Amino acid sequence: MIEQYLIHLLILIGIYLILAISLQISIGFTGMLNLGHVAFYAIGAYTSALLVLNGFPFWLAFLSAGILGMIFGHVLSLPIKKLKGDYLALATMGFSFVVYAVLLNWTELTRGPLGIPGIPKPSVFGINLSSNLAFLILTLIICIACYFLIRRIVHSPFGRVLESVRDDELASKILGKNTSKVKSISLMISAFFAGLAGSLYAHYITYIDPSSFTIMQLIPVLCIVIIGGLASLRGTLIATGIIVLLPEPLRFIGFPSSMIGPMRQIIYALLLLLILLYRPKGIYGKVEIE
Amino acid sequence: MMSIASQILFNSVIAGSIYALVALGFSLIYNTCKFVNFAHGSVIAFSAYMAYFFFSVLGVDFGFSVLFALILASLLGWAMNFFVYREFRERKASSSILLIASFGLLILIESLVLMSFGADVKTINYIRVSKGLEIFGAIITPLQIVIVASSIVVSIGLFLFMKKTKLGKAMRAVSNNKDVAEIVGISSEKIYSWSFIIGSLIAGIAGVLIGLEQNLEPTMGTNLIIKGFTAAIIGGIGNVYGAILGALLLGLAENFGIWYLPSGYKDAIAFAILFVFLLFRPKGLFGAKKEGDKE
Amino acid sequence: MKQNSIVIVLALAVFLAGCASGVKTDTSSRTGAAETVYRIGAVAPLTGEGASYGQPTQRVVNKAVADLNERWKAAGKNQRLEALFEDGKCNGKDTLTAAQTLVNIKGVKVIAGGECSGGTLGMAPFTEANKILVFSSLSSSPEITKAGDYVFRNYPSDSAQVAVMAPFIIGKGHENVAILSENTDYAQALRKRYIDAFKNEGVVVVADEVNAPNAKDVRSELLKIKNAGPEALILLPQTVPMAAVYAKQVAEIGLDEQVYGNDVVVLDETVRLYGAQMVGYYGPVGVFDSEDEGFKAMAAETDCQIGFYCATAYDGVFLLGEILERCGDSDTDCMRDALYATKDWIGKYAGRVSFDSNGDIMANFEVKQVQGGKLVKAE
Repeated sequence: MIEQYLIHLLILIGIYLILAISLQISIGFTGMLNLGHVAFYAIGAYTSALLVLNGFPFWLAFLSAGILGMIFGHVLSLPIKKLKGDYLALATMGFSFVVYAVLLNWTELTRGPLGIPGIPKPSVFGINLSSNLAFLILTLIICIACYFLIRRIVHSPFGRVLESVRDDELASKILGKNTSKVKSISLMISAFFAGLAGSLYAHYITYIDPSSFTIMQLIPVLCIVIIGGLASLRGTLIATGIIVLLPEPLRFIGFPSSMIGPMRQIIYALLLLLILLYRPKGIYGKVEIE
Repeated sequence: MMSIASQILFNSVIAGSIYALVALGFSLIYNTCKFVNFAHGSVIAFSAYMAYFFFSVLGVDFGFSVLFALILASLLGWAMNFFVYREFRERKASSSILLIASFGLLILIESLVLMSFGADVKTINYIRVSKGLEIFGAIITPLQIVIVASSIVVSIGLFLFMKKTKLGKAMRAVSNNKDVAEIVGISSEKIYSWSFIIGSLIAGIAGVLIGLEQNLEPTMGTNLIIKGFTAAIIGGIGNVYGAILGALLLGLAENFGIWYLPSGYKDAIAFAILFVFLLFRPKGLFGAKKEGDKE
Repeated sequence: MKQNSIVIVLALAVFLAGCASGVKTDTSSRTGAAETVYRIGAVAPLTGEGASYGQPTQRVVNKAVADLNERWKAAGKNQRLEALFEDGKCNGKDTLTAAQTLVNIKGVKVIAGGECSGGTLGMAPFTEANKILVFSSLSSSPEITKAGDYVFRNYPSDSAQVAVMAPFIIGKGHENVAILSENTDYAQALRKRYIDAFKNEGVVVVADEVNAPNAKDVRSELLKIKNAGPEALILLPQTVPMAAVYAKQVAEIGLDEQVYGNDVVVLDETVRLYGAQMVGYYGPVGVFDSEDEGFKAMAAETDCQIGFYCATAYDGVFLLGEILERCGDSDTDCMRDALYATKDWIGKYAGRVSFDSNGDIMANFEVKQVQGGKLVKAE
């Protein structure tokens, strides 16, 4: 049994890692306090689930999840071009609320609060990945691919432009960079990977409903990004492990399962506050939040 | 049809009053301390649960239960500022960091409430259920009248406080220009503290009333604070009284909106309005200019 | 920096080892000199709105397990039943998570429950794929009939409920009605059945409002209903707290129409707490001998005030016990076949049980009315 449990944890780490490094692109590298990340995760999950349930192959649904996330990332980037700091945070958060409300109310498409049960496990090259171990392997492959892709992006010249926008947008503009476009692309990339993560999540849990995609789901991801340290992919990797694994011992100390949920949130909230106070750079971060 | 329209109007005013109570406390803190305090929502929830705890669990007299709830709510607000926000301010944290921190506090307090009281809905059974009074063809219960009256009283009270009392004037001074206020000898830390105490007291009042009207659940704070700052943003975030108008407009938009749309869209209306205002009119309808606006 | 990474990896390894030992002790319960332990999982809403039936059900199940074990001991059998509970929170996703925990981590092959229909439906794809036997004493959505080969229930489908209520309502001569339902699997299934039934009889549904699950405020819905001027109102909540909100706000807004509810509305628990606001409401109650002294004693001991559900939950354990004796606790094919073959098994409190080819049972409901804070037989 223990293997099943470990496999489950590792899959979660994989999914959260993709979510976290994609959020890192927005917050850590571009300096945009994007609190609407869960919206792209949700869009990815629902897209993938609905496509597969309507007969499309998994790999197509998976990619579509990313692409649709990306499209919405672009859509969001347009009106928020001029916003910064608090207002950007609130507007992106507002976007995720709107997406949540649509998922909840557009019942013809999403079945609203009834959710979408029975999402099939992925079928790759004709092999049905019904066991969790197989799914873990898929997740690891995708995860590693995403990690290295994103690493390449942030270490490329484009990555440097992102960081220049974060550090001093005005200077960057003066130097001739189209910062609005840069921010838009950054958001699109971030949303793309979040969509992929959503697809993985949907096919793993096999049941999604709007309650999986509220602002609460952002807390662990935000914690990872901040604790790992802004603009540090390695820090994000380690922080993901910490955040996913840290509350697990609670399960074994004998707390009733109803307590575990809120206790996890408490741990995350405390960690967030403590890190922000006493080590705002996180583990390996290069900069702090502006 | 007249009675339907008047019922919707009444429902709007009731909802607007609730949102106004939330927005007033929130705005006060925002204007004085210059950051978005999400945790304000958890003070509202905490107050409601404390009233429940004293009245329904311990059996304390209702009046005293309310009093304790209000005192504890103010205390919680003061404590949040003293133990958390002040620490951040000493480290010269930006308003964005304070925003994230306030989010963390909201989750922390909400989860503690959830663990202590459980996830199911609780009721404060103080008021007997009966048909409401009929006025102009619409039905309104006595509690709802109290809610509307309270929001009026609190608004007027706050107005007089800010205008006439020394503390109120000092608060306005800090809100307008902290550095100049310090020069004339006003301690901004003390003022911040007071803004939290008073803002949280108002939140406490909101909590008790909402608890009676809508029952309690641990996440009530999150939803209310979103509505509250939507109202504040509509009214204009630099203007505490704009929040009242914003709250009424929000109430109207929601209640008239769901006459035509399926009722599930009520929150969606609020979110959409929030999003639209943040994008196109972040100053709101009556926004005063404030320092540190869009760079 | 390198050192830090090594430390972290080591810490993780130690941590995981710790968890591993924790999990192992949890699963090695097949001990004891020759004593056979049958382990089953149980999922019920232990927290949240559904707790008002989940918690009494847990108590009843635990009592039934204890009684069954005693009976076995008295018969000289060296075996006992163990039920491991997980919280399904009355929604599909959490019930699925609970099921996954029970199956993947605790290694059970039988799950008693689902309780809420949305929950049972949510976990069904997973349990079917893993050939887990699911036995529910509460889920009533008609969708469950088709949920799977390994899904059984000793609680009747809602079709039975509507089959009794709809003619009763129509028989009262109402020409138009309004429906207010909660947006959950169970309530929506009921709503669809009612709409079909009314359409067939030419009764007009003038208002059909659906509110969000666990909504606190249904006044806008009620306003629209009032505006449509129906002669009768049908309330379809999922849980007791939702029924309470309905009752309160219906009373406050001054709707004078005759009100009919579903089985949740007329649970003993609901009537006891909110009967004052529900004067004259009609609703369906499962037929069983609620006056049986044994039942009353059991219900009192476990503080179970949900009537028929207490009976089915209790009996369900005994039925499962027999099946487990025959098949052990891992051969779910044997269990499934045994259940299909069950005919006229007589439970202690809920009466006769036979499963049809879908794993459903037929049962009777009768209509009762709330009068003076109590339920009485309806005219």
